[in-house]
Amino acid sequence: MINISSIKINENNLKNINIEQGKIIGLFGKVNSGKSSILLAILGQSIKGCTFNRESDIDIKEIAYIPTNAEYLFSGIKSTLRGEMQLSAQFLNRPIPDITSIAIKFNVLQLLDRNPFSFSGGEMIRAALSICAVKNPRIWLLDQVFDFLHPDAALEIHNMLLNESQKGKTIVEVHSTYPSWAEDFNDYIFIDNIKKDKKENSYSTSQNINDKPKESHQSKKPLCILKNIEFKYKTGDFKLGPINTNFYSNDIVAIIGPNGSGKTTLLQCIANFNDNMTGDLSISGKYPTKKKWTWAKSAIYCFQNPDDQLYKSTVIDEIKTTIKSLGNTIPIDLNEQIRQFGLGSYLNAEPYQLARPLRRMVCLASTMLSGSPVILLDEPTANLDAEFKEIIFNRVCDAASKGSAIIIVSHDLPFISALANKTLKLLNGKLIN
Amino acid sequence: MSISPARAVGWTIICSSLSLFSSLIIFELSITLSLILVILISTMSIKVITRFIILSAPFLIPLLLIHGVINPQFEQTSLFFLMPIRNDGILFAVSTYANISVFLALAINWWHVDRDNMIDWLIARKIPSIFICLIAQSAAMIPLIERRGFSVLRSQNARGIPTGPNLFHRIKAIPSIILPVITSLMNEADHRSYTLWSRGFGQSQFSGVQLPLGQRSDFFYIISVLILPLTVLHMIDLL
Repeated sequence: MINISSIKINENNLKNINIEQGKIIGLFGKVNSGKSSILLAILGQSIKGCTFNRESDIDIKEIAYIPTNAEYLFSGIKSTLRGEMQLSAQFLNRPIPDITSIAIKFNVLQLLDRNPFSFSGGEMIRAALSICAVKNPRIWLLDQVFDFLHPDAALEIHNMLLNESQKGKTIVEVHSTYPSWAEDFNDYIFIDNIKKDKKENSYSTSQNINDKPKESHQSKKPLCILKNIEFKYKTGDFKLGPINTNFYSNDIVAIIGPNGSGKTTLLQCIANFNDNMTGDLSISGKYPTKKKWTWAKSAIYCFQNPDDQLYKSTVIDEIKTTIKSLGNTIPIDLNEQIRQFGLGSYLNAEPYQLARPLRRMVCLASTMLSGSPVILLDEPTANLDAEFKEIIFNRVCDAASKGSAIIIVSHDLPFISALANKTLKLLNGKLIN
Repeated sequence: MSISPARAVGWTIICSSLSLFSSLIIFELSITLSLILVILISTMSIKVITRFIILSAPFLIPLLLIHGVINPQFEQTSLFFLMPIRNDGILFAVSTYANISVFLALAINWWHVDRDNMIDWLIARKIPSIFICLIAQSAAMIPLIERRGFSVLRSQNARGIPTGPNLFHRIKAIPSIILPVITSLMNEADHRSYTLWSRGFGQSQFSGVQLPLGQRSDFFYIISVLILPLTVLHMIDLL
């Protein structure tokens, strides 16, 4: 159906790629290897640094493309998912299909009349699939969309795509590590030296997992106290809490739960972002104030989207800015510490010129080197390959051993089960034991 | 309260035409004031009228003070508690206010047009999809930018960059807010171009216009550039 030849990404030549009908194809590559560029080449788009020849007998209208940030699929022109689905058909000059049957197929019936920008991670991907389904595509391209999803939600979506492949549709999934359903793939494309080895997801790190901090807290004072923390968004019925828990120095705490269970909301409550939060939050005896920026000295937060943070001209300046803004002194060996985050080659690079996972690493480095006692990480391993995940694993252990409490929201269960010494599970905004 | 797109378009055409042809101040004044009244009353909404008063009132007093009292180009006609009164200046001020107000009334009219109805209305009239995208995407991007601005502000606060409490801190924080908004907006425009294009935007049959490969992102860049001033204004408002 589609043949991509003479592929050259950043001066590296890659072998030809053939996309055949009815296959489920896994496309694997490390961070910055050009996975997304290849997916775009299949779509017929060329981006800077990537050249190729493309032969195809199918039209763009028969290809569905879901980017890493599925939100980009929603134009915002219509205020509901139903409207966006109708718009797709109208712009393709096709009769509007049976929206309800598509919604049932992709489990978005209850989302049809909601604003797509209010969806949680899993809802967003299912909605993106349903929008693309309007044009009844022959090929589905998915660019690392599973990393922000709970494993059950990711599997549910993969199974939806499996059903499509049984109808003769082609599925191309991009991954930086091996998914649990890797056996389902009929074909594997390896962009670099990632091997077909399930050990990709195990953490045989230089730091012995058994050595991770697992101290008894009986004799210690809690570093961070959450007492009757509750929060409700202005719209919708979701309510977080009441949450009662303590975090201690050296803690590595994982917050897990399905998409939309309130994990990120809880993390943002600890970061003092949510104005309507009630209850008592304190870190080292200090209480949050309306001057939100002062709270970073007590709890620093690393967002999923690195582009909201970066504005300095070099990586090193970006990291220094965070340290200085907290009033801390720049360590003498800062460059060495940044190198430990795998950013040694990019110290003087412009952050915005880096690939997204590297930009994410810059943000993670600036957060973890800031010297704040509580470090809050939201999906730190999403879209990263095994090598970078191992780097984060070691850096988190290192920060915890120096006395920080690290609180992580993640769907990467192998990662957090190897790393965390305490796990909080959330379901519908409530902590469950 | 929702105003039909047809009505909003109609008022826009009438007001634009009259503002082009009217030249006498008195004629202009009477026409514009009656237009404002008709536009607002036709909406039959207290909310619309209140919004109009709130937005337009701040223009009137400074205009009256500048032209009716201070501006020496207009002849002084009387004194009011030692304050010079210039009748022609007052007329000019009221006329200018009326001109501003008629556009405010129109803007408020458009504000209350339901976006979804508007798009359906344009599609039903076979307007080329590329123009619909251009119009609608510009409007749709404003809430997206608003959200992006809020995220950036929160992200910078989260790493301790102060955006207050005084003016000095706010001015100092402007690069940390504006630069990520602009750069991420350009980045987002680039990515959105691939995805929306793959959805069929800008390539429909009835548009008669199909953007060639490699150039369609320019279309979204144009949109981004159009809304950059709005971004800056919004950021200043956020701070």
